[in-house]
Amino acid sequence: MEIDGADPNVNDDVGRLMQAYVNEKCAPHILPYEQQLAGIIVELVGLQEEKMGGELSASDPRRPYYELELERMRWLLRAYLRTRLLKINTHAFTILLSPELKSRLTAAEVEYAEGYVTLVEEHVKASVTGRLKAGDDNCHVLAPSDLALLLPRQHDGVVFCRIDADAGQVDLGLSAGSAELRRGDIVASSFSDVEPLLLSAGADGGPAMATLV
Amino acid sequence: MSFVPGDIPTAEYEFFAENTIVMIVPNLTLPVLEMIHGNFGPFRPLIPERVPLWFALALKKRQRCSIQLPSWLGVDELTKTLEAERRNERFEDLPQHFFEVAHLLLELARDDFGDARTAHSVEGLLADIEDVRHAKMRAQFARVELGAHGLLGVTRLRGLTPIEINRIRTFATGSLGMLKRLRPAEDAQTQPTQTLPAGLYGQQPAFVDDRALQATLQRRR
Repeated sequence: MEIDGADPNVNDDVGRLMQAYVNEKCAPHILPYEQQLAGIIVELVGLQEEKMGGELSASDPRRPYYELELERMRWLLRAYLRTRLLKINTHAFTILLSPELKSRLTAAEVEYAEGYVTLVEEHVKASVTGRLKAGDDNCHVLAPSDLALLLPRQHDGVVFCRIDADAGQVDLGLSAGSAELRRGDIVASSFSDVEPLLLSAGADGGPAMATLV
Repeated sequence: MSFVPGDIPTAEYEFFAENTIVMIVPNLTLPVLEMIHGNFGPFRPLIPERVPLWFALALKKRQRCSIQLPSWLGVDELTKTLEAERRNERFEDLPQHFFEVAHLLLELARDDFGDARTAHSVEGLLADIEDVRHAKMRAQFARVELGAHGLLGVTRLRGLTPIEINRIRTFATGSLGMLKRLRPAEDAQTQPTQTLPAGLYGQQPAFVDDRALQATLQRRR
C-alpha cells in the first residue's frame, strides 16, 4: 500500500506548523513557541496578501484559490496562537512560577500572562481575601510565592506519541523498564517521559525525534 | 474555558487531511499557482496534475476536475487491507489520513468512484476495516486493565492513524494515567500527599506537599 511520502513541490513548513499546533493541543505543558516556523508562515501570508492586492487582477481565475488558501493559513495561525493563549489562561500561575516554562513564552505572551495573573489576584483580593478579618486563625492567605507549594508535583498526563526517528532505549515510566523505540512506533506514555524526544529538534535544528498525535 | 489536552475535533483532522496530495484531471486552463503550500500547475485540460486535496475539492465543487482516487482506496486494495487486518494481530500501516481522505472523497467526489455500487462497496469495506481495528484496540486496552504485565507492550500502537487515536484518547489517557498513579512502586517512593479537587490547576488533581505547606502555615502562625 502506498503510504504518505514527501512531495518535492510542497512547502513542508505548512505541515510542520500543523504538527506544531497538534503538539500544542496534545501536550499538558506549554511548549516552546515555534518562532521561526510561525514567522515564515506569517511572512508568506503577508506576501500573498500583497500579491492579491497588487499584481493579481480582480478577474484573475486564480484569485478564489489563493483566497481559499489564505483563509486556511490564517485559521491555522490563529488556532495555534489561541491554543497557547488558552493554555496560558489555564496555567498562568504555574507557568510564571517556573523559569523553564516561562522561558517558552514570547515577550508578548509573558506580558499577557502577567496581566492575567494580576487581574485574577485583584479579583480574588476584592471578592474574597480582602474581606477576611485580620488575625483570624482559621484563615491563612498564601502569598503568590507560596503558590509553588500548591503546584502539582507531577503536572503531567498521558499522551500519545509517534516516534519519527530511531530513539534507542527510552524509559517510558509506565513499565518496569525501558524499551527500544523505533521509527513509526506509537506509544502512550507520560508527557514528561517523551518530552525530551519531542523537544529534540531544538538542539540541532533538525526534525524532532517524536511528535504528539 | 480551560485548556483540555488532546481536545481536537474531527473537523480539524479533516482540515489536516486536506493537505494530502492527490492527482486530478482538470477540464480548465490555469497558469501556475504560486501558493504558500507550493507551486502547482500549469493546468491544461485532460493533463493530470498533483495538487493538495483542498484545492482538488474546490475545483470539484466548481465541476472543473475529476479526482483520481488514491490506489489504496480501490475495492481490491481495501479488500486486501481488510483481510490483512483480520489475519494479523498488529495494525496494518495505513496512510496517515486514511479515513478522513476516504470520507471527504466519498462525500464530495462520489462520482469519481465510477458507479454507485463501487462507492457503496468502498463504504462497506472502510466500515469493516474501522470495526476490525477498533476491536483490536479494545482488546489491547482490555489487557492493560487486566494486569500491569506487558503494559508497555500493549501501549505500543504502531500503525494507528491520528484520528483513531483521537477516538480513544479520553478513555485511554484517563485509564493509563490512573494506572500510573496506582502503581505500588511509585506510591512507595512518594511522600504522603493530599489530593485537592480537580480543576484548581487544570484538569488534573493537584498534589499538595503536606509537610512544606504545614511548615509555611506554622511560620505564618
